[in-house]
Amino acid sequence: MKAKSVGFFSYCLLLAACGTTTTHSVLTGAPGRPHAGDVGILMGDDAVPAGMTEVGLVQAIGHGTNADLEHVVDGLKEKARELGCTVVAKVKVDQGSSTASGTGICLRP
Amino acid sequence: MPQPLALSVERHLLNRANLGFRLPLTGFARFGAILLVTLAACGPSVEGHSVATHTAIDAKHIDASQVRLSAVSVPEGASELGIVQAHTVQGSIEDAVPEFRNQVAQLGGDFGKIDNVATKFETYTQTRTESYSCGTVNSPRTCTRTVTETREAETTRIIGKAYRLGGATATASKAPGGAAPRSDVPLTAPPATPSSPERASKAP
Repeated sequence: MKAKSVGFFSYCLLLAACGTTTTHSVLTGAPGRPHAGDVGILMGDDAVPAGMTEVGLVQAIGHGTNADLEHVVDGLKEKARELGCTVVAKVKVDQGSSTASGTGICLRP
Repeated sequence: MPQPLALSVERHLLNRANLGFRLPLTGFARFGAILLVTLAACGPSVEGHSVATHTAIDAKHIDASQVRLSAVSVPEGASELGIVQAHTVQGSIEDAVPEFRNQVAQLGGDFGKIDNVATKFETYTQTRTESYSCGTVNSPRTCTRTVTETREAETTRIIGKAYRLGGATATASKAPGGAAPRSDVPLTAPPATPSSPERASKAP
């Protein structure tokens, strides 16, 4: 019984670990200081807010169980924080069967 | 996909008769060559294209490392040179952007505006042969089976335009009125050749 429980929990852990999210960026401007605050997400056609400075393109790719909107947006936010951005604009998420990719423009004040 | 190509090359390297000549490789060198071929085949492939819509006033040589980018705006006074595209299979924007710069430079541009980044997905089936033990302790045997897997390949594409700043200066203006393009991006690309109406290049 105990061995079965251990096996079951190991299986659950394995399933939970079957997803990864990788993040990428290309700088087109100067990054700011990393921060832990919130990052605004502006989808595709939303207007880019005035008074912001462009830092670069950011991309998050979710594989396996991370191939969904939540993980991709979290990945974009995480990368944006690293670059000191407070907004990711023109966000676009493309969904595949086992992969999802999101891109956006990283902006800081 | 790239893997069958790698396997084929490996087979050629291992079977010298298929090459028609003997490779003077030691075991270690042969292993290294196979590893290099395999790694090259597994990495992301990058390809770029550009179409000139206007001709640059001068045929100034532009190095790809001098090309500045923005995804928000184009500096005032910049003149449009053409449409540029770069895409990568199983790669990311970090793989595609250097090729985008390269294509901008090949049109004679020193500024690239990224208009759209999109990823599309394609599924493909891959067949491979596996061997496994199928005998008993007393009479061990090795059997083979064919395994067909469905995989997904992602293609990330960047499309935009090439510009020549000329007299225009890329000031540190703010979005949306103007981006703050800089040349301190830590990316390098091979030197570009002078512009021609249409061109494409591939990188492994």
